Amino acid sequence: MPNFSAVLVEDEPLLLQGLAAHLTTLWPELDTSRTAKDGVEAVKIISEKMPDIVFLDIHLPGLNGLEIARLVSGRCHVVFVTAYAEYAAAAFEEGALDFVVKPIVAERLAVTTARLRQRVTEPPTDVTEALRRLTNLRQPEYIRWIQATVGNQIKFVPIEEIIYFQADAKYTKVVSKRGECHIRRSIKELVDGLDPDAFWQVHRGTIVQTNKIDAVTRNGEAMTLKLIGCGDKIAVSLPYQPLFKQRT
Amino acid sequence: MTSKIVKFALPYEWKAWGLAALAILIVWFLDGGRNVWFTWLVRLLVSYSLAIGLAGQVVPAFGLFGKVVAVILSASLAAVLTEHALSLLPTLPYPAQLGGMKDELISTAFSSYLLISSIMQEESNRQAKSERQMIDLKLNALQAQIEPHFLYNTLANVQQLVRSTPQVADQMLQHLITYLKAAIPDVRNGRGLLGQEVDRAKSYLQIMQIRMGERLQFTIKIDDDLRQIAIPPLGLLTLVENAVQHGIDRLPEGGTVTISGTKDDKKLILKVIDNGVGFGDEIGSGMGLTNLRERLVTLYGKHAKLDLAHASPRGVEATLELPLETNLKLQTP
Repeated sequence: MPNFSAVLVEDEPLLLQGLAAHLTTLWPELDTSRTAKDGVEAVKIISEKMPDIVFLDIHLPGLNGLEIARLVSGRCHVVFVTAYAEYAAAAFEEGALDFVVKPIVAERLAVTTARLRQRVTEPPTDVTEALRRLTNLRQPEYIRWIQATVGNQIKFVPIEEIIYFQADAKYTKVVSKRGECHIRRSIKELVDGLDPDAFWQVHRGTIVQTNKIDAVTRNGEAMTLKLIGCGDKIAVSLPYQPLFKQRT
Repeated sequence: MTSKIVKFALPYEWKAWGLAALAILIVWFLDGGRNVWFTWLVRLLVSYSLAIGLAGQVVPAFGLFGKVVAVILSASLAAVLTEHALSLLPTLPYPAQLGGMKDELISTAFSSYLLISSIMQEESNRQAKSERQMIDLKLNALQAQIEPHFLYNTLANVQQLVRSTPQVADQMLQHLITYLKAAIPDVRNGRGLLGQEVDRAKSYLQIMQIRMGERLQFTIKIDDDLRQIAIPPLGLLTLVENAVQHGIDRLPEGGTVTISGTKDDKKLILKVIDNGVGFGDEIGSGMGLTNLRERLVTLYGKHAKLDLAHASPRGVEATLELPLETNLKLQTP
């Protein structure tokens, strides 16, 4: 039986030591001498050394573990080493992905190494699909604050205070009760990150916080919104007008 | 803060009305079955509604004294109003019985009972509610502070240290204990001393230093004479955790966190500066800073300030300004 090699990727030195020690006990023939402490270093070492197995921490400086896995998928066997329930354990269990939870329990790691010993001679599975499902399983986290640089100062606006976003040349204007500022995020990117119940897109270039809407005025085809906390009138373009019709 | 109108929980209301009915029956029998029940019913209704009204208006403002006044007022008003109301109805069979001493006593006792128990019920409801709020607050603070991530990773480090260098494992556990004690804030008095807060931040930094190795350096420049100043619990820790997690830990080469504090006549100025990646991202879903800002507004209104600025050559400089004179507000829960 030929000797197999692994690359261990972990940013915390003690955890790296611990993982190496556990693996040496459980699988003495496995070469675990190559390690990386951040994502960029990891990708470099993996592509140079082409190990059979990669043990990946998920939270890393540079690229994170999931991004690294995507890059090396199909080229080596991937095992995630992750802190408690960071990603849905079930998704790992069923799929091509294996994982070990930190703090490492020797018995659990033994199950993984036993599985690896069996599979290591087979070509590594393409885990791209499993990774995609895993990423989808993560709870969506909505944007909770916006920050904009004004001079040297970073303005920090909690999402609740924002009245509306409006596309403004290359930037997006953020209007809140604290005043205006500009950010580089596009309206489209913001729509994806905002809670759809709290923020409505009412125009190709405008997103309004629903609880800041005071009144809706209709004048023929045109529809405008009067807002609470600012005098600006916001136009609702035709495709978005049904949002308001449903609720009258 | 206190509700204007006393609301009765359904079971309690049933109990009160049941007792009222029982009292009417007893009096009716004692009076030899004469038609006194109608008088009593009216009197009880008046006294009950007065008691509710008075309890809502007087009691919250005047405390125990208010309660006593409300009892006496509602009972006597009930008696007077009932007599007046009934004397307007000449068709009633036994008007002469009204105003008797015995009736007065029973009426007073009964309306007192109603009022006092209604107040006690309300008080205990209010207490339970504020206790629940406290627990929620505590849990939120706890959840916001101790990510399972942090805890499990730290324990994983301890596990390895026990094998490799037990002395450092011992130190690590000491730091962890200090940190955990700190992360469950003393919400009852809602304050902490700067000295304690600095110790908490330090224990966090020491844990992270063991975990991250040479990637993390820190300096703390806080004079001893500042340690007795009251500051909101966990405020400093939030800023330090942000600097480490979002600034330094994102850089492969790591960096330094500097905590400093100064004071003038009016305010305390705390700075947490890091030379990490800086605020690259324009949007975020973190709760730490949002929570801290909310707490500052609750405690100091407009008198406290939290500013974030780009540090040079890179990183973030967070400045927390707290007024010294309104520090008194923190000391009275």
